[in-house]
Amino acid sequence: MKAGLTRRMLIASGLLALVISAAFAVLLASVADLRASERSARHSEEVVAAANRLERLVVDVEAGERGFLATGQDSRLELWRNGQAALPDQAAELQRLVADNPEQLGMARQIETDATSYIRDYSTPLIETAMRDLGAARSQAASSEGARRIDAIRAEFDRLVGAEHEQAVAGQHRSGAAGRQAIAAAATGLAGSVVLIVVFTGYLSRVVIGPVRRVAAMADRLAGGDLGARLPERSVGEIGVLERSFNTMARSLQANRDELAASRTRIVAAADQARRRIERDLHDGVQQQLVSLALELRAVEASSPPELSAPLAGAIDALVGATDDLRELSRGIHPAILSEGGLPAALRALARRSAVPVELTVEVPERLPEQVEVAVYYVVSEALTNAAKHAEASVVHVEVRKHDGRLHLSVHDDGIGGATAEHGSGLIGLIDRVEALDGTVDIASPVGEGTTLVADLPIEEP
Amino acid sequence: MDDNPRFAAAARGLLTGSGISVVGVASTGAEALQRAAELRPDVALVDIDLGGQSGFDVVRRLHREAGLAPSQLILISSYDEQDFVELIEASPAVGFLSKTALSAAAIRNLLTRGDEGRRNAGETPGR
Repeated sequence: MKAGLTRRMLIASGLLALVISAAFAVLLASVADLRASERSARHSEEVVAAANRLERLVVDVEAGERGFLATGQDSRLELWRNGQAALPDQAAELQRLVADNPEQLGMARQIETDATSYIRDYSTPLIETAMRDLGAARSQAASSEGARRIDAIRAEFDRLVGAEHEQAVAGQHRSGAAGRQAIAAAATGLAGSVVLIVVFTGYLSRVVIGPVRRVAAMADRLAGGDLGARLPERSVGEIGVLERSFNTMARSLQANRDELAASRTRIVAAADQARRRIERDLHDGVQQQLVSLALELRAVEASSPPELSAPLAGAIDALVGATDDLRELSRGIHPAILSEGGLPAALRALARRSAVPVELTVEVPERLPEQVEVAVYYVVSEALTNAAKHAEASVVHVEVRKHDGRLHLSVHDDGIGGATAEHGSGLIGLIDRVEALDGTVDIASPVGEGTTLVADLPIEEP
Repeated sequence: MDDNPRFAAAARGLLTGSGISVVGVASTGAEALQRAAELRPDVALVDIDLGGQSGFDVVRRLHREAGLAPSQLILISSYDEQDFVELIEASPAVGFLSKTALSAAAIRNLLTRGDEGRRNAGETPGR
């Protein structure tokens, strides 16, 4: 699924645009149709109106003729003359209006020809006759030629108007169809667009927004410290790349952190091992040498003359003093009692030696994993040293308990507080040591309220 | 009973010079039991640290298996007595001497004190 997101978006957008464009195109075509129909209808009206006017003129001519024949008054002739005068222009207009329709044009021309013929061939001679001899004209008019001609002209008018009417009706049908087409197009376009948009949104949501939200949530978890956060790798295109990269980064972070933690544990263990070796070597080597030397000198002193025994005794005392110092040093490097007697005994030894009185509560098994014993011993030792050196405390409460596979340690002094992790490297070393064993350390030291150190370590059952 | 030969030699030299005869030296727990059985000493001085073996274990075995009485067992070390005071009290040995304080007089003192302590408190068997 390597198709890029951009291409997919373009395809989807294109599709949507296509549907909308098609709908609008149809709509526009329908509107054009409707306008054409409207124009056509108007045109029809004009044609009918022109035809009616022309017919009116012909009727006027006929009426004027009849009136003159009936009354012989000149006033009727005016109608007759006006009608004739206006007729050519009106006929021309009618022909102009139907010029695009050959059939109707033919009819209009025929009408003009017939009307002109009526006037020229029948009406005018008749009127001339009537002007000379009204009676003769009347009897001439009695023959129905005039009426026939007029009827024929009327019939032609009817045909013309009828044809125009048919056209108009056809046009109405067309515009009705166009209107329905427009509605259908609009409805289809609307529905299609809505469907496409819904599909589009759903698709976007599934392919882009959903995965992005998942990534955001996981990134948040990762930032919060959970290095085990992973994403399912199933998205397309660039989102897929994002998911894979995220997982790689998270794995790398986790591996680094685990490696660092393991490394730190190894370093602490190595340091402790080195100290034990040094203490061993000191004890078995130099210390025994010096102690032996002291005894040998004592033996010599016992059998030496008086003037030598005082200086010798002095030297032996100095030597013993040195061995005592060496013993203190050695204990600081590694307490033998811890290896020999276990944590409770070692803690009690610490309490006895402490300059500040110690209330000690120890509820742990005799033996614990070695690095746990060492860590707890040094934490308590450092805490007691700080209490004696800086805290001006009168008593220190030390509690060590085992509970639920974990070891809880708390050291509380009632001194002046104010201890911080920067105050000498001692506290940082403690924190490092405990954390190297996956434990937690919390030091609360409000000024004036003493210092409380609480540590919590997991104990792996061996 | 000490795993350091030089110290053993120095101790032997000093004690012999003050009237205590050193009948045997052992450097391991097994040797210690053997010698104790063979030589039946009046007193055994046992180093807390017998080259990796625990001197307290050896003292217990000397008491139970080789039949040495508490008044015949003394623990010694170059370590500070304070550090090991609980283990020393729990041990059948009559007491502890620092190696640098080792002398015939110190041994006799300890034995006398131990006797007095037991006479005052009444002997508690299997200590």
